[in-house]
Amino acid sequence: MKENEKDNVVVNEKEDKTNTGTQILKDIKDAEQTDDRAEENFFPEGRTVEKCKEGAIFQPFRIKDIVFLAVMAAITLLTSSVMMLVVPLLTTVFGIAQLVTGLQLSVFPAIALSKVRKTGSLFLTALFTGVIQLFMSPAMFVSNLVIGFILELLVIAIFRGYKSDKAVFFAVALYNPLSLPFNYVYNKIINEAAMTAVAENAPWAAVGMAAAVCTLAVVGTLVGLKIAKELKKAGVLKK
Amino acid sequence: MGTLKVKEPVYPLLSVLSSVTVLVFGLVTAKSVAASVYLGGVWLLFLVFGYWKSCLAVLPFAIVAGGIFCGITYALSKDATTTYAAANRIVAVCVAVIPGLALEPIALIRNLSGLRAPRIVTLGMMIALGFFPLLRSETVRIREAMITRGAGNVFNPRIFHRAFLVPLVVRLVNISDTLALSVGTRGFDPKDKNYTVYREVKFRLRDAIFALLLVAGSVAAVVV
Repeated sequence: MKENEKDNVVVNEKEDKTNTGTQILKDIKDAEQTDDRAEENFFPEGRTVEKCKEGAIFQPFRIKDIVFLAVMAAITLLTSSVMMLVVPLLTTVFGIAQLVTGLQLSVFPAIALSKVRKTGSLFLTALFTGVIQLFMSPAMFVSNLVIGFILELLVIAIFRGYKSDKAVFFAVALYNPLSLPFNYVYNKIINEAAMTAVAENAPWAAVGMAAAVCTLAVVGTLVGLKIAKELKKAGVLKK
Repeated sequence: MGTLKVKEPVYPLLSVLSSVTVLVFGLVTAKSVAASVYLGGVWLLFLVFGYWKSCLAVLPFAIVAGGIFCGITYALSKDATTTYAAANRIVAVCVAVIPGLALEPIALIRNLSGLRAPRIVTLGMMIALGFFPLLRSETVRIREAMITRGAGNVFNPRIFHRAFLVPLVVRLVNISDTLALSVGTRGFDPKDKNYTVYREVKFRLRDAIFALLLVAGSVAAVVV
């Protein structure tokens, strides 16, 4: 008798479990259907939550994004350390610092923005780079942040984010050249005559240097985008 | 950077501010005699507060870079005042770098975390500041791989792109992915505001004295 009772209890428990399992699966299905319906109502043009998230201008940063941007900022800064070699020429050749860092400041940010296509990526890269520069030159820190912020605003206004390669190209190609007028204004403000005199005494040389900086920035951005495309094809650079 | 660290460093944010102050006041007063006295005084202040290793480390650079910088400036301007200002400028940069050389990245991060700075910023800063030694070793490894494979001259743009730049970026992507996973598995959440800083950095009387002396010196350099 007892054995039969035990068997019944086991069978009942099994049935209960199966019922509970079925119920849970049913609940999940119902919830999914409700979600889908809610989604359809919320996004009437057949768009899904994912698609809408991808299309949004402001998207939250994941840990992965921040780490990648910080790593790219570190490599940018490390390769830009060649600037120390031309410090004595800063008051002699206009834009020499921007010229020697032209490629580094365009190749790596272009790769960074190709992976993390979110509004604020350039500003964060500029911030991470600027923090270390703060000890050597507060002007560079301020310049980085201001230019990063201005470019973010322009990208939002013109391209509504970094969805297209054009937006990445626009932001990165302007990032380094924009520091030329910024530095000039900054040196004018702090009355650093030696720095501003370089541009004022030989304006055509300054124009030539500015053109060279712009060319390098464009070339660097194109190289960065090319590398990013190659890596995407190889499956290394995933979103 | 590790060999230059200080036993009892100044409050991290204060050392960042001191760098900015020294640089700004050094550049503004570069043409006056007071600038040299000010910069010398700040150098001594850092020395007294335990930054002697960094103070000594910047000396050779200040002498060499200052010599070159002044030489070029004098050759172009033939003016002693301009050359003097140029010398002060390079010394200002060297003195401003002293607290940065001795500052441990983790101390700055703890300080910012204690002040409830956005976690995205502190995480990014920690990685950016602590990544240099790893990057150097990766670069050396790729160069060694290039030599082993007989990849040719690194100064050739095509070889540089194919054999150096692309592998470097691939390594960086892989490292950042592993790092992100590692950060994630340690329970780091950028949105989480309720976190504990186990070793809080506190502002002490010593820091206040340092700040007072620095501000007094900076004001005196402009006024005198």
